[in-house]
Amino acid sequence: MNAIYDHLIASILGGVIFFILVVVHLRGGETTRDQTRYYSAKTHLLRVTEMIEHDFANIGAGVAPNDPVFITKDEETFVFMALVEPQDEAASKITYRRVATDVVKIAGEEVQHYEIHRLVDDVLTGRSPATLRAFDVELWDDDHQITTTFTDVAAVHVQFEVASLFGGDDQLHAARWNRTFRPANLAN
Amino acid sequence: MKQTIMGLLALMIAMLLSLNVQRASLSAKRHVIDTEMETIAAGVALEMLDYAGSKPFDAATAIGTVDNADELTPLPFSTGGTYDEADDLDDFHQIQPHTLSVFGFDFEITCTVAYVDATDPEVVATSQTFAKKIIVTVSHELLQMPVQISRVYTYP
Repeated sequence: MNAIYDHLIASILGGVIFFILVVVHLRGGETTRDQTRYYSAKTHLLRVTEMIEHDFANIGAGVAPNDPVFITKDEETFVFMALVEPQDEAASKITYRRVATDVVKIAGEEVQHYEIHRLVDDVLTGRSPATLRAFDVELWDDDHQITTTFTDVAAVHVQFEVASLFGGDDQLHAARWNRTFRPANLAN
Repeated sequence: MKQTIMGLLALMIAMLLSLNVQRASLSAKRHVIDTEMETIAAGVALEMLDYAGSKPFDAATAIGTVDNADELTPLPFSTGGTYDEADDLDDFHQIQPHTLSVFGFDFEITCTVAYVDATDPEVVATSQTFAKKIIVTVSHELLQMPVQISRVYTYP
């Protein structure tokens, strides 16, 4: 009887310990995957910020005094004039276009992913990863209010969110960035 | 009896291991949230600094050239103004907390402004100088501690 009792207890303990070790193993793997996804998103974010910082800080540079700085601004497209390279003599037309890609489900809700295309004088010169969950550009006047009047623009606010290319259905698998540019060449 | 104690010991070790892994997982998630919030808050603080920097150095310099620092706004700076009313740098000194919403998070911004030694911006001056330092503090309940960024503006 004692032998049966010992075997029973040993089996139960062994089973519980095995279960705990499996959970530990799975949880450890999940944490590593989460971190990989987040740092992947962060890396992609840095690629996009580099492109944006260069272009947006130079908005209006190389534009003749009476020529327009902003050409188009709508939900999908933002077109402006800026110097592409410091040695350029005149500004080029730079287009940022938001293109819809996949739809993913996050916490049961469908979320649209985008890709940003960068065109210089209508020639595609760059693109972001296809996992942007948001890309919003706002034109602000001197009082921090959103304006649609191009001549009143004093600042350009941009914010976006990049998800990892390795999937993930959590807000933690995305990196965010926001910045307001006040190029010296704007009217205000 | 001996086997039972050994078994319980093994169980305890496994549970401790599990607890540590769960704790590490939570800590990693917390770290991601902290990093994200700090990045967004830094963007908010930079925006505030840029906005303040777009204003004149001083009320006196807004209307003409100033050659003598004594002509600048004397200390102490007035406090309690609002963000929208600020017309020059020192108007941002201890303004009423301003809220800026980014990614759906409402950040509270406060500022302090001081005259500093133009050659050593870490030294706060007790009278007017041609250098003003603005310290922007951005707070949010999800931030472990408020994000502070400062910048020195000089005249001319």
